[in-house]
Amino acid sequence: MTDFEKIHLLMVDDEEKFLNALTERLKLKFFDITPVTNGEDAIAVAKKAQFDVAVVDLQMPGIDGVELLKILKKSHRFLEVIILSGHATIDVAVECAKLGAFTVLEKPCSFDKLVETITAAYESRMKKKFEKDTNRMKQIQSLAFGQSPLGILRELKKMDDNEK
Amino acid sequence: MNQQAIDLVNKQGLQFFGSVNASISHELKNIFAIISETAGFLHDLTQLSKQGKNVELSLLENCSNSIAEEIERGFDTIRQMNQFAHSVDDPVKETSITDTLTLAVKLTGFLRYAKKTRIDPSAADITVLTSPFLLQSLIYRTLCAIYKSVDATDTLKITFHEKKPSTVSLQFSWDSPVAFKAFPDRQTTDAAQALGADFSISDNSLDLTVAAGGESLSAALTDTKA
Repeated sequence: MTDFEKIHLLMVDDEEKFLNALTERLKLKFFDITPVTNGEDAIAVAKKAQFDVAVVDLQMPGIDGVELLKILKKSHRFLEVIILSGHATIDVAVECAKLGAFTVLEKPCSFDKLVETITAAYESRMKKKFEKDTNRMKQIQSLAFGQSPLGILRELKKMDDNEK
Repeated sequence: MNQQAIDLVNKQGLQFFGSVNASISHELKNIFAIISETAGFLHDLTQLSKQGKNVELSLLENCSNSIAEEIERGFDTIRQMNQFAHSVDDPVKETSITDTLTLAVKLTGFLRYAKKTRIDPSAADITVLTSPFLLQSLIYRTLCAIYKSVDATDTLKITFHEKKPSTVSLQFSWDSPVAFKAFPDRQTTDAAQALGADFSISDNSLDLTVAAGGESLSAALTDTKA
């Protein structure tokens, strides 16, 4: 599997040993993983690199999982976020779903279940991106009729501005 | 006051037990999650080895060390849980300040907002005749309030000494100035009153003065036991 085909995963958990063990296992499953131990570092690395899926622990010192979810979803529209929680109550699940989380998993969860969920989150991301790209292509095609080259560029700029 | 102490043990007891047990169970879940993933990684490495791939021995060694450390952490957590559970065995008894503080620091250490804490090793232990459960609850609540307020990089320092007449003074101090919001709250104030305890709060410290002789508390609580 090439780097291009790997799922780019951001793992955020303040339990360093848990993070390390999980990172090693996921690497064997051909995920490209960036592990960080706090929300502040997660925001910093997400600015520099593009991730497909983030797995975020709910209870962390400093920026907690819910706050991080809000920040990541605001600045990375297609990033899917899976929340890991030691107390996966209905209230937590509802709050995270409202904020755009892909799902909430109770910790500890089985490794197979985690891999399955990450893969499903990746597929969801690709589907949303594909739909967005298809819509964009349609808009561009419709612009191409009866517009001057400068007019097309102006319309494209408007489309880009609307997506920010 | 005596009746208040009895009511507090009854009313606050379950709630306090619940919240402490929730933090302990969270800690145990984390420990099991680490053991589970490390054991899973060991399994993965075994499978790779069976397939003829070269597996570094240091990886196996790290895994087994990590599992052993987490099992020890688990035993330590259960020891604290057990010690806390026994704090309700006697309504009133001679209680060690060092032991009570040490347990409270360990139990609050499971909370995600806990800060680095150091108990003065030179402070000579003092025993007080009091309700060990209410005292534990009072110190736990005090630590929670301090952890929520002090700067993330601050280290909390705790010391204590005997104060005349028949009182013990516990001092919690930190570096960056803090303005407490809504502390002591109602439950903490009730527990403090029942124990004959007083708070004195400044920007950089909190002093808790506790009555050392709990004869009236003892009479009230042992009466209800009978």
